[in-house]
Amino acid sequence: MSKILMVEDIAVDIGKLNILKGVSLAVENGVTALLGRNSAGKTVTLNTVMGYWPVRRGRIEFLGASLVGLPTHRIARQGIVYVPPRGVFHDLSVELNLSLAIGSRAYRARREYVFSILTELKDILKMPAGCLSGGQQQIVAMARALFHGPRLLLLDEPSRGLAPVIIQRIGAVIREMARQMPILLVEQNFTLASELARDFYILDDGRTVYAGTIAELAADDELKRRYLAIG
Amino acid sequence: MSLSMFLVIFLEGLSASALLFLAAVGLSIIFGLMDILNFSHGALFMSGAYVAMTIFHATGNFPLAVLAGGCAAALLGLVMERLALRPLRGRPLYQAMVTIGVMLFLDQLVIEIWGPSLISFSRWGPLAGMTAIMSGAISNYRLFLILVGLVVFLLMAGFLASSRWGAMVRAGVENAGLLEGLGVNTGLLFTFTFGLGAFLAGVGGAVYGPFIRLVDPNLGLSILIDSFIVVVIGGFGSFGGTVLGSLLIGMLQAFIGYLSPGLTVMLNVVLMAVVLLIKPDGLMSVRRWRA
Ligand SMILES: Nc1ncnc2c1ncn2[C@@H]1O[C@H](COP(=O)(O)OP(=O)(O)O)[C@@H](O)[C@H]1O
Ligand SMILES: [Mg+2]
Repeated sequence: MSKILMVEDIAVDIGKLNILKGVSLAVENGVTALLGRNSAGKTVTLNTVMGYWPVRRGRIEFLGASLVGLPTHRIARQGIVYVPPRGVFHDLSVELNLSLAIGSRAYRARREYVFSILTELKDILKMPAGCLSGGQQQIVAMARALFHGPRLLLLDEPSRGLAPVIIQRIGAVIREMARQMPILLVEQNFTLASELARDFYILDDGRTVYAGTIAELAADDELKRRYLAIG
Repeated sequence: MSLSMFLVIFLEGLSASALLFLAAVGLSIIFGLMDILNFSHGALFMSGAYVAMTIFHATGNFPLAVLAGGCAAALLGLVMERLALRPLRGRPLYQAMVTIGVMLFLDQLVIEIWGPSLISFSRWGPLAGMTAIMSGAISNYRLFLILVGLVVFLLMAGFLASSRWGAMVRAGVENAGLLEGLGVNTGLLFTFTFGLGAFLAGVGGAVYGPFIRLVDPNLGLSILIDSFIVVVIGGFGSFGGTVLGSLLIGMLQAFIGYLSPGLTVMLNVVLMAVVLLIKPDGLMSVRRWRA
C-alpha cells in the first residue's frame, strides 16, 4: 500500500540556521505520532509539509505527488489541514472560525455531524474565539479541521498547556477524528500519544533518530529517557 | 428659513457628505481591514482626478473618464501593494512609511506629467445644469454626487455584510499563515482589497474634479486631511463611522455655512476636537471581532 504522506530526508534552513538536517517519516491510516524534545524540529517539520518553509533537500509526497515548491494554499487545497496549538482567529466568532474558509453552504451541510461529536460548540458559537479558554480554542481548531474534512490532518501539540481533564476530552476527540482521517500527531504528552498512535517517529536536533511502533517504545525506558526525557 | 431654502441646503449638505464619503471610504476600508494607514490615499485620489480629466477632455465621455480614473488609481495601488507593502506585511509602521514615500512620489509625478498649475475640468453636459426645488434650485452635479455616493455606499455595505471577504481579510491580518493553511490565497486577497480601496479613491477623485471645476497638484494633501478628519471622527476603520462622519461634517458645513459663512473654516477641526474629547475612539469605535 502506498503511503498517504512520505517525507524523505528533508533539510530546511531558517535564516542562516540549519534547522532540519534529515527528517524522514511516513504516514498511513490511523494516528502516527511525531515525538521528540522541545526544539527538536517537530513544528518546523509540519510547517514544511504545509509549505511555510522551503526545503533545501529531500522529498515530500502526498498521495504519490510531490508537494515541494507548492504555495501553502495549494497544499491545503489538496486536502491537508494543519492545526497549530489552539490555532484560532481571535478576532472572529467561533462560527466564523468554522465557516470562514469553506463557505456557509458547506458549513450548514456538515454542521449537524460536527456538533454531534463536539456538543460543547453549540453554546459558544457566537463568542469571539479570543475570549475562550485554551481547551475551548483547541476544540474549535479541531472542529474546523472536521469541517474541512481533510485527507490528512497535521495536529501540533493539541494538549499543550491544558489541564488533565481537558486533555482527556481532547484525546477522545482525536480518537473520533482518527476514524475519519489519517493524523500525524505531534505530542509532548507521551501518555496521550501512546493511547492514540500506532506508529511513532522520534526527532532529535532536526533528524529522525528512531521509528517503530508505540508498543515497542512504551516498553523501552532507555529510549524514552534519551529522546523524550521521560522516566 | 423657508422650506425650499431648507431643502436646498439639505441637498447641498448631502452632496458635500457624499463627496467626503467618497474621499474617505477607501482610506477607512484599507485601515479597518488591513491595518494599513495609507498616506498615499489622497495622492491616489488626485491621480484619479487627473487621469479622468485627461480622458474626459480627449473623449468627452465622462462615465468612461470616471472608470479610467478609478482603474488608474487601482493599478497604482496594486503595484504599490505587490512591490512595497506585501514584503512588509505585519509591520504597520513600515507600511505607513512606504505609503508616505508613494505619496511624495505621486505628487511629484503629477507635476512632471501635467505641470504645476491648475487645469480646468469642466462638467459633462448632462450634469451641467440646475434643477428647480420649489422656489430654489440646486446644481445637477450635486445631485449626481449624491447618487454616486449612495451607489458606492450600498455596494460596499452589501459587500461587507453579505460576503466572507471582510472577515477573511481580518483573519488574514491576524494570522496570514493560518488562513493560508486553510486554502485561502492570502496574497491575492490582500492585493484585491488594497486595489479596491485605491479604486474607490480614484473614482472619488474623478467625480471631485468637475465639482470644483479643476484639478491641481495640491489636491492630494487637502483631500488626505479631510479624509483623515472624517475617519477620525467616525472611528478609525469603521465603515458605519465613515458614513456617519461624512454626514455630520457635510451637513454641519452646509447649515453653518448658510447661517454664518465665516464659521465653516475651522468647523472640521473644532468638530474633530469635540468628538475626540467626548469619544476618543471616534463616534463608532470598531468592534475588534466579527460574528
Ligand atoms: N520562525 C523561526 N525562526 C527561527 N528559528 C525557528 C523558527 N521556528 C523554529 N525555529 C527553531 O527551530 C528549532 C525547531 O523548532 P520547532 O520545530 O518549533 O521545535 P518543536 O520540536 O518544539 O516543535 C528550534 O531551535 C527553534 O528555535
Ligand atoms: Mg512545536
